[in-house]
Amino acid sequence: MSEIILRNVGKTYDGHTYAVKGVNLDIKDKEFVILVGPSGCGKSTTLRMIAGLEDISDGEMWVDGELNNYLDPQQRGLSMVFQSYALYPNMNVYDNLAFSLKIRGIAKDQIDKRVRQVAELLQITDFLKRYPAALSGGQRQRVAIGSAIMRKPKAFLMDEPLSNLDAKLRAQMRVELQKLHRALGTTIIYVTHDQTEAMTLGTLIVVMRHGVVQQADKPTVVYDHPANIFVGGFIGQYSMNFINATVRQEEGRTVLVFEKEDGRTDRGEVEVPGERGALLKERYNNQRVILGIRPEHIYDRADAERLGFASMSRGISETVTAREMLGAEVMLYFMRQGVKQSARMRPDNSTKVGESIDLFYDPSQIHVFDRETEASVFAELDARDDAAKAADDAQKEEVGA
Amino acid sequence: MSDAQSAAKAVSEARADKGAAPIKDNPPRKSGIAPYLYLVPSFVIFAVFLFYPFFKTIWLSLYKTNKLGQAKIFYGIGNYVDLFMSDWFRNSMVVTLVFVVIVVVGAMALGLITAVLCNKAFPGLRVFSTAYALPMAIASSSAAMIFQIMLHPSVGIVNKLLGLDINWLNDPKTALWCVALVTAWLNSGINFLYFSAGLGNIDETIYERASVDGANSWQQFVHLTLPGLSPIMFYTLVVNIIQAFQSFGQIKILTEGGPGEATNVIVYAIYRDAFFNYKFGAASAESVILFIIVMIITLIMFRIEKRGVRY
Amino acid sequence: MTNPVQGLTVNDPVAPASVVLHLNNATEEQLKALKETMRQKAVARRRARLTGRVLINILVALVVLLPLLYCLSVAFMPSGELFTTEMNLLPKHPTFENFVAAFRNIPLLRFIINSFVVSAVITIGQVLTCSLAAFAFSFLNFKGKNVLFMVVMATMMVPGEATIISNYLTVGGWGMLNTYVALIVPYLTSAMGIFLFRQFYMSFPMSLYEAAKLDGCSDLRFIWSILLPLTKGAIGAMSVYTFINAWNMYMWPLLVTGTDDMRTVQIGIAMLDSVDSQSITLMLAGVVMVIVPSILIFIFGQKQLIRGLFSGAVKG
Repeated sequence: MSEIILRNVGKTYDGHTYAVKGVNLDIKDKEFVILVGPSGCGKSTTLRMIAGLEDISDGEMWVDGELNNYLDPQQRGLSMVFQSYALYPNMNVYDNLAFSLKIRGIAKDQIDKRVRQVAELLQITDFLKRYPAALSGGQRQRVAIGSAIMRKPKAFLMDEPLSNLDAKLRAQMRVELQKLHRALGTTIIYVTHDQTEAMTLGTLIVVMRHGVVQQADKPTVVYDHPANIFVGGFIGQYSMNFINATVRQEEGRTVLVFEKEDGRTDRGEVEVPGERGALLKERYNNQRVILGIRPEHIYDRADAERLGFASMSRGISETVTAREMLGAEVMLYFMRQGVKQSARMRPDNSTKVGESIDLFYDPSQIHVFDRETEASVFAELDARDDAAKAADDAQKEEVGA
Repeated sequence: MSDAQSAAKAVSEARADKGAAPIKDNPPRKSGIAPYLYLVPSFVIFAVFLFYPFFKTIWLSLYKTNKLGQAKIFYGIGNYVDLFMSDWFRNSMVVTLVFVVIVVVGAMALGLITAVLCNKAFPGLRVFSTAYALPMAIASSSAAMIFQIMLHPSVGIVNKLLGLDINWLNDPKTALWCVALVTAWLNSGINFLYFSAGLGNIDETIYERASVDGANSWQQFVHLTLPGLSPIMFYTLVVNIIQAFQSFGQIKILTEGGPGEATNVIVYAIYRDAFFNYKFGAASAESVILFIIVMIITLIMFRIEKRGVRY
Repeated sequence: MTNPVQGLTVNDPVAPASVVLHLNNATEEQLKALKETMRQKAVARRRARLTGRVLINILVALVVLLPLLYCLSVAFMPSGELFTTEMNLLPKHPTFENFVAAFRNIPLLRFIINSFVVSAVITIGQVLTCSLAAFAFSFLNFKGKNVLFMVVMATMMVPGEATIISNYLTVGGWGMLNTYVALIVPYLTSAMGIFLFRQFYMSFPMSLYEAAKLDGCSDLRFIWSILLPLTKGAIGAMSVYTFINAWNMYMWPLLVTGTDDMRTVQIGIAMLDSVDSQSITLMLAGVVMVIVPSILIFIFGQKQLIRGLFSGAVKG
């Protein structure tokens, strides 16, 4: 049972610039927490502060209610897997696995039993006598993970453990890690720059940028209701499209009108219905905002009509500049406001490069961001909806159990 | 990228632009004597002052010579037999062995301690690093003269600091130790450099992992640092042994092989036999024996290394 | 039933009570107070560790440098001061008279010049012969290249003692004893130097050499104008190492020099070695003057030396 709470945690090396600032996290037991973000966003630094390898400059870290700031790494009861695996080069695989138990004076036969258990689990029994130098990258990685699970720590820390593997191996190991997490029943705090890893593995996604947490929530929430432009653009298999738009009223409906650009005569607008439309009218009428829409939520006329929102987008007509046939889908690329944008279509879409196509946005998937703060305008509504859904799910689980 | 590499890269690219075929990293087969000419200066010196004397020494060892070093009477392995039968030479071999052991252990221990002390940054690290490496710049004869005074029974600082009255260099029980410790001091400098390089080669992250795993500083030293030095340890050991066998200056100045035969290492015996007794044949035989001993030890070390080091 | 995947629960020592503060029952002031004491403790601990390290280093360094410091101290002592029963680590009336006397009693200046000439020529000679040989081994291809290189490496195994007698007889046979030639020529090349330069050259891409050739550059010109300027690091390292070793040579100069005008510095100051009070301070003054050049060269060339000697060893 482990609950880890970070309260206003920050890190500075010189008292002026902060590598990490104001991190607040409440990690319940058995969570798979992912710290994700681009290089230099502070995710590894945060992990190292949790491990005790870096001092915590500001704030506190509470583990099961106890203040951990001033404990040495040895005293924190954690396990860590490093990006470079950090296998002890002078010990064979067996000794590498046994190390953390051996230095605690655990009985030899107990250690032996546990080593063989772990080796069996990670399929490294054949290498027990080998030395790290004689192992492949994937094998070393499994030894590193094996070493970490020898004990039952309060939490597992993993610093980009899959980064050094090739794509295929990485995909395989992702599945293995998922299974491992379920079997281990222990909190995992995991750092990666790969949003796919984050979304597939995590139960709690913490998106970081420039040392600050942008959003920390379940994967579905981070995907459906990104808190700001950065999260919207970072998370998701395909980059979100961002368009400068103005809020206008038309025949009693709130619409977002795409801003003109040189050489384009079309207006392009999409209606925002219901509560969200009302909010836009109230707070942002006639003001410029940033519209966000994911490529997978852009449809052609046929689909839009079938799904019932064809009438809500008007005049969004684009000339295809590039086209990628990806088997299960087709990606169309076009330019708007000087930026490359994309739309995901069904595989039978036959629009060719140079042709123009009418596009339709799913109004329930339109994101609007404030131009200055870059924050999502609908944040409160989203939060309310997410809470309601969570309560719903909890109820369903109870009933079903 | 170094200057050389960026220069070469620019050249390669220029050539590629011109449509030239990619250059392989194999130098073109050259015939002719030009390559050998570049080796001539070095090899001439090697030939005259290394190969030739090496064989001449072996040849001389089979003869009895006159005072000018000319071989006079063929004696076969007689010189060798004489040596192995003689008490003084057998004593010399024992003395040499003991000497080498003390020197190697002492020099490596001191080098290891100083290297570990300088492993983590602290104010003044540079100054201390220089100090610990300094002995390698001191001539063996100069060091010997300093220690001669330090070990002086009445005015020497050693007796004064320890409050003793021992005649260090004239007492057969202590003379060898003194000479060996002086040599260890001399050799500790290069060991400091070797071990520092070895320590620098150890990947830092394994210490972080060991911390999270629960190992304290001592456990980290024993399980990570010491084994981490094993690659450099072997090489350092070999170099130290070879150097110890060749120590001469300090013995000549401090004890001249005495008192009695207490510090008569083989090198000194060679010097004495050749330049005081004019027995060049015997001295040559001693040289050959010394060479063989060093060879055997080196080969044994290589054999052990093949089985031992795992990196 | 225990989950087979879950690790062993180990009983790690519980954190000391003073650190245990529960999130639930801690007030802001308690928290602040605790953090402050813990922070101060951590800072104090770190400072103690650092001070400890510095102190041990000072101690060990004093032990290591004791011979040199003592030598310096005695060199400045007037000869009378030496023979007392009390502890005399430092001179009470430091004086330069020993140094002056050293120059008077023996031709110290001549010795220094001899050593300097011999060491400098040996150094330059080794740099030239070794870089030429290494050039051939790295950039050129010829029959028996590997065998010849093995031979060079093998010479490193041969201890000086195996050859010194024969060399003495050889040089004597030429009638060249007691000359600069005898002191210098046997040491004009070294296997270690060839090895060092070759390591360095191996890190250069072959295209550097080939491009020069295509431009019509002769081999010698290539070595002189392109290769040598790029190997400043190795040349620096080797020069420092070779000069110091040549300056410190003892056995060979002992054998081949017989008169004052040829003696090198290490042999020369041994002439000051006798055990009466006058000469001890004199002798150590001489020693000081002899080791100062090598120490200075070492200190200034240290970085170069270490980088050059270990560039092969460090990057795996």
